Amino acid sequence: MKEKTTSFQLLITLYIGIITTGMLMMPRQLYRIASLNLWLSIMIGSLLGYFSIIVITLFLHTFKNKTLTEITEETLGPYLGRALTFIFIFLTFYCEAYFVRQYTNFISTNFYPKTPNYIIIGSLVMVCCFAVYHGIEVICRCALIALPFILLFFSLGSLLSVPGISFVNLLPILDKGLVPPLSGASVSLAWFSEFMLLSMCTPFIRHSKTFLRDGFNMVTITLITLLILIVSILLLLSAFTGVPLYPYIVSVSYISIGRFFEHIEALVMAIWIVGAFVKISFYLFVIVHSSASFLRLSSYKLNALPISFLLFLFSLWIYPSAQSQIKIGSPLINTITILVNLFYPLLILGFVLFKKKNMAY
Amino acid sequence: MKWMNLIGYSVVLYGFYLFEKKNLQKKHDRIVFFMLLGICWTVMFSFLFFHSLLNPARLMLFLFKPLIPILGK
Repeated sequence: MKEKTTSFQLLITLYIGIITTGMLMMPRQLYRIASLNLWLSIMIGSLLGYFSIIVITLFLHTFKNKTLTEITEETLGPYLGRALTFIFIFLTFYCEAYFVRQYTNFISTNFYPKTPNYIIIGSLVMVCCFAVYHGIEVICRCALIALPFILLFFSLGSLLSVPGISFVNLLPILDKGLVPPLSGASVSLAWFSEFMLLSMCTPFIRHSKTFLRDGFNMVTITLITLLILIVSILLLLSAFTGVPLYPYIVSVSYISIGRFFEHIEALVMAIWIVGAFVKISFYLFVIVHSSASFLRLSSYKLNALPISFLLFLFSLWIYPSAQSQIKIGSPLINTITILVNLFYPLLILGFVLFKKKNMAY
Repeated sequence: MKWMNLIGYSVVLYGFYLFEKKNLQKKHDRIVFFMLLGICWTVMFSFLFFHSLLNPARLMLFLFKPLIPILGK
């Protein structure tokens, strides 16, 4: 395989995708379940991130240069393996269509209410398809270029909201026991489980020896970033965190310095577009690459255009409003993400260990 | 309008074929590529003419409904 990238670059790509979508979508969902203890839900959810890194490292050492779908076919045989791979590709594709729709609804609700959806979706899918066509290295480089701007904006947003925050908003801690934060963890699990998608990119990793260390570091950095961002929203908005569709936009709109530095919501949109582009490109690459190996194509580039077109159609079709997307779509996507990124790799890992144990005797 | 959209999208699919024509040297690649274009056309047709009848979001909700209270909050 010609294209190679470092594990650090791949992890940065996922980091950007997780924090940009997490800071917009997670606070409302988490507050509605775990209320003031949402920070604990994020910490519990991050355990899955560490677990994903361990599982991928195991796969990396056992099956060198093989993706999870290829491992599935090798472990479960051609029929069951291919059936499972097809289900994985379809469910990941559905999640991808949801993310595109999420992006569209956010942009059209807050900034471009009069622009037709097919323009917003079409332009994003076209750029993502172009990036996928040029390979994983291009996507990772784009993520690296965007990283300083995203970090600068996030730190600026959190720092400038400091005058309005009150630490009393965090109290009381665990007032309803451990059950609400544990239930809320299912929301943050969905975000942290995205680290499992790296198992689809293992053939592209250049230095796999440092993967475990890099992975653990990146999950910790993701956890810290999400904690800072989401807790700062909670400290500022308190009980209002669970009311608006996008609490981060509301918290940023409070920022006003000397009456000349206001309305930095436009910057949120800029950061969101970059983050969404990185996340959707990465997901699209995973889908295109795994479907190409499923269909035994000589190059994954051949199915980039048809799959992007299907993505365009599906994302136009599902969840026409932000309300339906958040009320109906979010729980469904959390379920699918946990199934695809937690139960599916666990099942394969179980089979691999079972097979190894049987071969040893 | 729907028919105009259908023609427009079909032209886009033909454009995909023209774009990838030189890379479709192997017979298997050609078959799979045309199969994918066929799927695209069918989904597009369903989207344009049976928009509310065959919504994939409803289908997925129906399939995963029993799991949502357990896994997705």
